[in-house]
Amino acid sequence: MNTHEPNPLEETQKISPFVADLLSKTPPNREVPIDYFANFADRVLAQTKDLEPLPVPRKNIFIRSSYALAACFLVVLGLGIWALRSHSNPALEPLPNTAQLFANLEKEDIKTYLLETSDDLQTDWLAVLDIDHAIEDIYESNIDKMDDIDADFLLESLEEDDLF
Amino acid sequence: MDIILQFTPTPPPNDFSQEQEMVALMQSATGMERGFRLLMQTYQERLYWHIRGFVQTHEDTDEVLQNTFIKVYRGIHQFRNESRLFTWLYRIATNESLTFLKKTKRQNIDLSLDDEHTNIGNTLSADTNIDSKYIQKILDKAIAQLPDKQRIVFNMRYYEALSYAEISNLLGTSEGALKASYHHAIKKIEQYIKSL
Repeated sequence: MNTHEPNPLEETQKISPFVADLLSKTPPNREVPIDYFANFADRVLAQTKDLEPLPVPRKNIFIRSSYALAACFLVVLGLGIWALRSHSNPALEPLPNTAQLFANLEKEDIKTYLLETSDDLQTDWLAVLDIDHAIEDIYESNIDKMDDIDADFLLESLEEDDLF
Repeated sequence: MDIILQFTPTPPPNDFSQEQEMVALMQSATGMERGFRLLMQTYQERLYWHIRGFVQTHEDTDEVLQNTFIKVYRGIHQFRNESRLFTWLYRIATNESLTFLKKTKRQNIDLSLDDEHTNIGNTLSADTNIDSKYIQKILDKAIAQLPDKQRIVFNMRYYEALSYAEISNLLGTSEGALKASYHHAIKKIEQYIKSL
């Protein structure tokens, strides 16, 4: 536990005093039948009588060797292509990651992209989207400091409402 | 039903060697049942409250928790000690909860509000006499509206009181992304309640 981290209620208070006030007034709904935990293991064990655990995955040496060989081949092939391209274009740089791509994108680029891909979006949603607000919101989330997985997690967790 | 109230789930065990002993026992030919019972007794309460944060009712939580442990029972030989046992259990419980929610499409959550309560958002904070169970019902409904990932983060952070480092370890996501998700979740709860 990070001792410098505020407790959840203090943190919530900073984000929304309104929500923190409601949360502080209400103990969570935590009702459980008497002896539920005492009997739980027996109930589950009764269900496992006819079940067999899944076997340990077999280590197929032939397949593993094939994968290793294929991986080596791909690495060599990739290095060769990279060397060839680097040689023909000394200015070639490694592909940027998501954070770098975001850092280089102008707001107008994002707006253009959204408009050009509007077939994938609901028209009424696009019409009311405050693009400047939406982009600021994403940048406030420190997306430029995240890796691709984190960025995906955050973006997947957002809904249309978060962008208004 | 006869009920008891529980407010504080037991903390997860920090003893790594105890985890390894349980896994070794379960993976042995003769110790499976004993190890499995020990594992359930050690983690059932913690996982129960984790799942309860998703599915709200005790009956649904019971079903998901049973499914979680059945999966653990069947898959224990595939656990390789590459991560903490507790982390593995948490992930299974989380996935089972999300699968359950998708399957039932949250139709099992009856959180309808009384018609007599209007303009709730403006009166909730001011009225100190309002029934705390009613406030809880509104909060439950607001939380149920959150996207799955925001709800996961909210429940783990607020109700389970896990640190961001612990959640990050369990979900494999950076603390920055988790903090942002929590922030959005709180804002969305506020907006939802004030719109009532």
